[in-house]
Amino acid sequence: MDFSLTEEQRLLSETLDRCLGEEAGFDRRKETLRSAEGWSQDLWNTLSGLGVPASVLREVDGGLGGGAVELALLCRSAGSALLLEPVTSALVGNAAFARYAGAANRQSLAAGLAEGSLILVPVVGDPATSIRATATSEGLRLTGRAAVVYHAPCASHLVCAVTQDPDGAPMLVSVPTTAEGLRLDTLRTMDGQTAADLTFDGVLVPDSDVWVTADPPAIEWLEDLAILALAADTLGCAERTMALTIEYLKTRQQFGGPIGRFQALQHRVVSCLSRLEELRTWLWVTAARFGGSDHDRRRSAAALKVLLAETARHLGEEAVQLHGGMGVTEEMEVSHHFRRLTAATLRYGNASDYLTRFADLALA
Amino acid sequence: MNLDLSAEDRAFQEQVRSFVAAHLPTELAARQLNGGRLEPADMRFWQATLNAHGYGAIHWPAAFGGQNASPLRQHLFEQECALAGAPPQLSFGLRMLAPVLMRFGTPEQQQRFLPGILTGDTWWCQGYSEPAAGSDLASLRTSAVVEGDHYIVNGQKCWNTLGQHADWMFCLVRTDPHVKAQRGISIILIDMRSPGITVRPTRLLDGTDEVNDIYFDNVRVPLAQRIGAENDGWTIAKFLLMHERTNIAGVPWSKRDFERLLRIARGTIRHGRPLLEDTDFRRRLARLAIDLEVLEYTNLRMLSSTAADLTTPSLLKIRGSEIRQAISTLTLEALGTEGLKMGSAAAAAPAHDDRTRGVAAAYLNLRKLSIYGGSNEIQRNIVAQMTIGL
Repeated sequence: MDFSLTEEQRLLSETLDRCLGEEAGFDRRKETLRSAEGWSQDLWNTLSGLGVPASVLREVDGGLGGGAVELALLCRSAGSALLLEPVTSALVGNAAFARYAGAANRQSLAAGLAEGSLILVPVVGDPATSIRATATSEGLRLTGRAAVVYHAPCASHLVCAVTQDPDGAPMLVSVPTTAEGLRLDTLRTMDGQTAADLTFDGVLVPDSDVWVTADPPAIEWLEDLAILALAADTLGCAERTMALTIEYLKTRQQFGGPIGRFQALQHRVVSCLSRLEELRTWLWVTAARFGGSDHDRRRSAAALKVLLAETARHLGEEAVQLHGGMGVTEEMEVSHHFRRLTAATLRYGNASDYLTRFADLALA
Repeated sequence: MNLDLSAEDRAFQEQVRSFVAAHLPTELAARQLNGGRLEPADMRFWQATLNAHGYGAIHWPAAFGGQNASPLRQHLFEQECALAGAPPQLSFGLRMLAPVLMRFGTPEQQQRFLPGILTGDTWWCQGYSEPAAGSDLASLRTSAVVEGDHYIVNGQKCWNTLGQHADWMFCLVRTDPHVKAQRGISIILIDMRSPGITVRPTRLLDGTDEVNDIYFDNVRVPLAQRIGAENDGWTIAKFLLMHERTNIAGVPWSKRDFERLLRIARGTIRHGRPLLEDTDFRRRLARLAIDLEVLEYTNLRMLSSTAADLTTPSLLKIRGSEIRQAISTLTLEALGTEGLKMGSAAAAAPAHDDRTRGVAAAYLNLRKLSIYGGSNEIQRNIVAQMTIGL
């Protein structure tokens, strides 16, 4: 039993953290937030140059062959730096590509995805999303809606989980964001990220863009990977939140000394650290289970969403409270972390849904 | 990142499993798995059985009769034993005193005391807390004054676990009242049959006499029974507490208790269907199952790490106690009004069936988990000290 990272994994993580430390500071993020696009193509290019999007692509497709652990490490760094660029989405999309893409798509998209000129964003796992695929004489046509798809405005392509009429069999298809009949209503989320509501009005999908048909485990794998990426982003965000909060408690002076000397505040910090430790454990357990049985991975991912949501809610609210009035200002970094943590509780459905799923998988 | 057991560790686990299946009496196992009372004779029997097959103290170095087992193997061993319904090994001698003797004891002390711990022939108890020294242990007052080649011990210890069965006690005493509290403490070994010792059980809320007050009235203890240098007791005591970590989260026992909770939830019919299918109860069970599995892996993560980590043991103690208490609470609630049945937990008394036996008593008894071994609030102070440092 070994919970440690390999030398390559440690290096990957450190390289990205160092780059983000230099290139993606809080001030630059504030500028990006104010920009019309809401994300920085320049920073994305830098990250692509580092090999971030290529990391989870297969080596034959110009990637580095990374798996769930590598994906989680990179997403953790993205959460820690509050990135507005589509790192988590692109990694999930590229991992799906590596596993499921058809030959024609591999030929045409792999190089662009590896170098970051193309961005593939997943549309999976949200209970409010419903896209139906109907066979017509011209081919498959998609109809339906997807709500608040993170980073869709950055995307060149989407990888969508859809249900096939009339039997409801699940499919995985890729769709260019420029496809006729696809509308993106772009928006900003509570945590300042770019997203879009998608409307599919008879979008035509050629056979070459159909990756998977009638294979529920494939869709579940992708849903679970999206949870893993979100949990890793949340862990990074929460770790940074606690570091900021502890620093604040050490420096903020009241009643003639730092407020961190008060036991009432100390014990609240410890409760947060305890939850953080548990999320950390379970993130790596779940990542490791991507190499095991479908059932164990599914069960772990359901538990992971429950944990990440509870941890994000608790830790975010506590961090703001421990910062006092400063915690609710736009100026303080912690309020941005709080918003990202809160957003994480809502993405892909509530913890409550996942607790039900876990119960059905674990309590026979 | 590889969460599978190595082939060697898996083989070890299988080997322990077969050993326990072959040597643990069915009656004892059934009693342990269904809330029956554990008698001192059960514990002595099990320790002797373990030792006869080389499992007496697997975490000890081979030179002292152990197997040099890794923390992970110790955990696997405890888990196999607990899930099969074996009694716990008494930790006072095996896990607390023994490492201290190996590190600080003289060869004579090691030869005299270690074998009895291994065989289970010597029952050890701990003399730490006092009426005015609980969380603030360093303020202890039981005095040991040198007279010739003996200490003369006077004072009172309390919360002494199972000392009524003990042959010996390792005891913290004040040997210098004139220096800073931590500096004037020594650790000595006291024969419980010494004249001047009075053991008075403290009846607890679950009806047991698990702990005692112990009074010392001019008890004579040879100087040769001091461990380490005089006034070095605090350092040694801290070493002792730091050493007791492998099962600090109590995962094997919580897993055993959770399995019983599941059996009860399956077998209890409420509103015409098993309680396990009740929407609310099922969700609470599921949430607890997540907590328990996360605790298990956080514990394994610590055990398989070589890095010194000063905060995780405290966090594991807090969460381990909270989760085991939560299991006992939910088990009590699963029984509903039947949970009120206290009856007798004695093995011989068929007062009520396996389903309810010991559930109320366990709920009451396990309040202790968040109080002893450094209360959970003390553990939070420790973590805060390590992380905030103010």
